[in-house]
Parts: sequence; C-alpha cells; structure tokens
Amino acid sequence: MIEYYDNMPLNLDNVSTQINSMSVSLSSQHHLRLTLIEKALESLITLGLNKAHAPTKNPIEYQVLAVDGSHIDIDRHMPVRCALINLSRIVLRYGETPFAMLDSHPDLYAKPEELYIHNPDGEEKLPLQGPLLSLVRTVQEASQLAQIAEDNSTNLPTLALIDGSLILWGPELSTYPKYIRTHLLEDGILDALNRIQALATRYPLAVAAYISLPRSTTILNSLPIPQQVKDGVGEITDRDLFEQTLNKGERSDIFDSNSSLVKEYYGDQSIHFYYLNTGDEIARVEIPSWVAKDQGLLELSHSLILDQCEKGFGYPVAIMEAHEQAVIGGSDRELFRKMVEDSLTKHQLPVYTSQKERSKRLRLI
Amino acid sequence: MESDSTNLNLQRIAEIVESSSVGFTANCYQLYESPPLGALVQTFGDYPTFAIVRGISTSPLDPTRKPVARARDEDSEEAVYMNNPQLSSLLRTDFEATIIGHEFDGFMRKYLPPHPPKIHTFVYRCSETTIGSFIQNLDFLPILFSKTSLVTDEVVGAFLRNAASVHADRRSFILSAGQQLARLFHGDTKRLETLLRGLNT
Repeated sequence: MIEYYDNMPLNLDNVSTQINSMSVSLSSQHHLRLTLIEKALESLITLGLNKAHAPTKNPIEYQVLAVDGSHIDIDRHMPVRCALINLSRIVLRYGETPFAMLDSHPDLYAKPEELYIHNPDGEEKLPLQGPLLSLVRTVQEASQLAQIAEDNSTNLPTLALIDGSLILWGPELSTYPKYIRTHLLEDGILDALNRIQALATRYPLAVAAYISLPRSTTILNSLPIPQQVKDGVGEITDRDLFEQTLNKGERSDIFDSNSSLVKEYYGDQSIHFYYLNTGDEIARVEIPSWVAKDQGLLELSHSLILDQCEKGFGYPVAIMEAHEQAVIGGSDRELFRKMVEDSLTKHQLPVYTSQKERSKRLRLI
Repeated sequence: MESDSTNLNLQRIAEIVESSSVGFTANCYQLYESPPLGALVQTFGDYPTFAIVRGISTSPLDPTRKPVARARDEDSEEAVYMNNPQLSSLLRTDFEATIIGHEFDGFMRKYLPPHPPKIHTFVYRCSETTIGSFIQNLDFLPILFSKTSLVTDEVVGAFLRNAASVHADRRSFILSAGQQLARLFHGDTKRLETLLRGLNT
C-alpha cells in the first residue's frame, strides 16, 4: 500500500529528516565500531592472518578477457511468455599490437523447451524465471568466458575475469531438485571452470572473479571475538580489517571459501579468495584452487587486476566494458516490449497487456 | 565513367548514416581516418553522388559516456591509445559532406541528384582522375555558396587548393577559379578578397 502525504511522488523534506536521524544514530555507534575493528585486528595479527603480499611486476604484453550479462525476466504483464539474456564478450590485448573486441549477443527464450529446465530422467521441469533465470545467466557468463578463452588462445599471459563471484549462490539453490543443481553446477559453472583449467595447461591463463565493495565477513566470523563486543556495533566486514593491513597494491593471504555449496559440489574447482588493496578500495578476488596453488597464475591474477584497476580509474577496465556491452537499459527494455507487441500484431496474433502495465505507461492526468 | 565500384580500385572509407537531398553524414571505418576537410568523395548506386567534406567530428559512440583525461602518467599521446585499446571501439569519427553533383546517363551532373543516397551507402575517396574530370569546369561553385550547402568559405578554399594540386595546369586552374569567384562575389569585395587569399595559400 502506498500512502500519499503530498502531491509530489517523493516527499524529500520528510526523507531528509529520516536520513539525518540515521546519521546521528551511526555516529553514536562509531567509537564502538572502531573498538571492534581494533580488537578484530589484534586477533587477526595473533593468528598470523595479516600477512601482505606485494604484487609482482605485471607483464607489458598481456590479454584480459571478461564477460557480463543482463536479462529481461518473464513478465506476466507482457502479452507473451518470453525472456531475454544478453551476454557480452570483451577481449583486450596490451603491448606492441594492442587489440580490442567489445561485443554482446542477445538470446530470446520463447519456445516451451527453452522456457523450462527439464529433468533428463523424468517428467519434471522448472520454469526459467526469477532467481533461476539469474542463476542460469551467471552460468552462461562462465561458459561464455570459457568460450572466449578457447577462441583467443595465445602465448600471452591471460586473465579471464568475471564480475561478482565464482560461487553460484542464492538461498534457493539448496532447495532446487538435484537435476537443477546438476544443470547449474556440474554441467554449468564447474564445466566452464574445467574448460578454462584445461586451457591453462596450454597457455598462462588465470581465472578470477572480482567483487567490488565486498560485504563478506568470512574472516571476521572466524576470529575469537566475544559476542558482547560485537553487540550494538552495526555491520563491520572483512574489508574494514584488511583496509588496516594492506597497503596500496598488496594482497592478503589466500583463504578458503567456507561456502557449504563449494564444499559439497566444487571438488577440484574449490574456491579460494584474497583481499586486494587496489589503491581505491579493498576488493575480494575469488580464484579456483588450481590458480591458488600455482604461484605464477596467482601472481598473474594479482598484478593484472591491479593494472586493470589502474587503467580503469579504480575498477577493472575489462569488467567495466563488459558491463557496458551487456547492460539492458530502461529504454531498451521498453523497446523490447514494443518489438514483441509489433511482431505479434504483424503476425495477426492477439496483443494484450495488463491494465496495470498500460496505466503505468500512459500515466494519464 | 565506371559506376561499378567493384571494378574500381578506390578506397572505401565510410558508410552513410544520415542522408538528405543536400548532404550526408558518414561514419568512418577507422577512428580518425576521415578524408580531409574539402576532399571530394563519391558514392555509387542508383544515383552515384559527388560530395565535398565540410566537417569532421570524433565523439563517443555512446553519447552518455564522456572521455576523460588519461595521460597524466603517460609519456606520449600514442601511449594513451596503446594502453587503452578499448578506446578505438568506443569512439567514432564521422564526417559531413555537401552533395555537389551526381552521375546520370554516363555524364557528371553538377546539380543535386533526384534522390539522396541511402543509409549505409558506401563512401569512397575520389581518385585524382575523377577529381580532374570533376573540376574541368567549375559550374558547381554556386551550389557550394548556396544557403543550404552549409559549406564555409574555408572549406571551399581547401577544396580548390586540393583540386589545384591534382590539376595538370595548376596556374590556369587557380586563375579560372579566381575569375569564377570574382563573378560570384563582385558585390562583396571583402569576402572575395578572403576567398582569393585562401585560394593562393
């Protein structure tokens, strides 16, 4: 339900008062927060988890690959059930012969066999929409990354980058039936990582996922800090700790992911991570075990991500361009809807839309 | 004149992205590789068209993304492009051209074609031979100075200088162009003087 206090859509005066109260409340907690960070830091040092590793010199000639995706979900207000996934591909080569490939490819999902994930051993099926569509898109991004790594085999040191996490996450994942998990994990993201690992035996190729402004608390939660120190402090994250221990360019030790999903399903592709001070923020970098165990590939991921951040004013250029190519903006979403409606009309099919959707679009006075 | 572009060894440089009766905008295949200001270019198709480049611009492909300074820590301007290979894919060079004639029934017509070129028509740089044929007489000059042409005197100067450099008898071409300009601008000596100075530079 929406209550209207004024004829304006958002009462900014009212919002401003509430924002101010929020800041006052945070400010009163600030010293408690600093105390907690200090205590956590002491604990981190005692356990020897505060080591910092400087980057190696990055190669002058290198290649970076990145992907990203965006989608239009099935919309019950549309006249037809369909979804769209737009995947981008980025290849950037640096050195004597610089090269760039930036593109994207959309796929429409409209046929019954495309709109469901079917159990190959039974009659069951689940519709490809909502959180499941998001997970499928993430899996497709990983497969796309494997594909461009195959298409761009070279002798150049190469970094394959994913925006976000290598861990397929979502509370729903554990509730899905086994055939969905197999589709997303074994036949999906793990298959993509296996393909990239196979290529890494032929040329120096590291794969990493980059998480900007990470909110994870894996390390913090592992520290023996009494609960009463944590109470009433609000949120602090691993980032707050590593901000204190890492200088510009340095990375932390490698830590194991404590995700139950990784432990249960990832096997040889188990995920590890390190924190990295890019100079502008503390980022979390996730790598599979075969990168973590190979000093050369580990250092490559570290130094190339830093170089990408430097070139991208604080954020990896390749990921930024992957996003730019993949993103489906508001006007494109509206155009997509219009194209679907026009095409149905052209083929003498009934075009109906919900009155709610029509009302939002027309906004009659 | 040969109108089948596949038989001509011409350099294809751009594709038309906006078109009207009096001119067109073409998107260059390579960043910064536009023909120079005042160059004569041509298209083929139903009405092979001749046009003069009257303006060149380079801008972001996505107008909502603004270029920013990148060279504070670089030694040279080239290094910016070397270290940021994506730039060439994010920027575009376009040129605007004013149509000054077309070919019909095997003859060059120094007036506007019945229909403008289509969008995505290929644009070629004219060969010296074509430029030579086109400037055999200068009866297209009034089109250049018409209000709809949007060609500045600077661009006319660049075109005539370029034409003079490929003409077999440079001196007589400049003389004849000067006489033509004098006939067009006998009532505007100040402008005529500027045009003639541009012609001789």
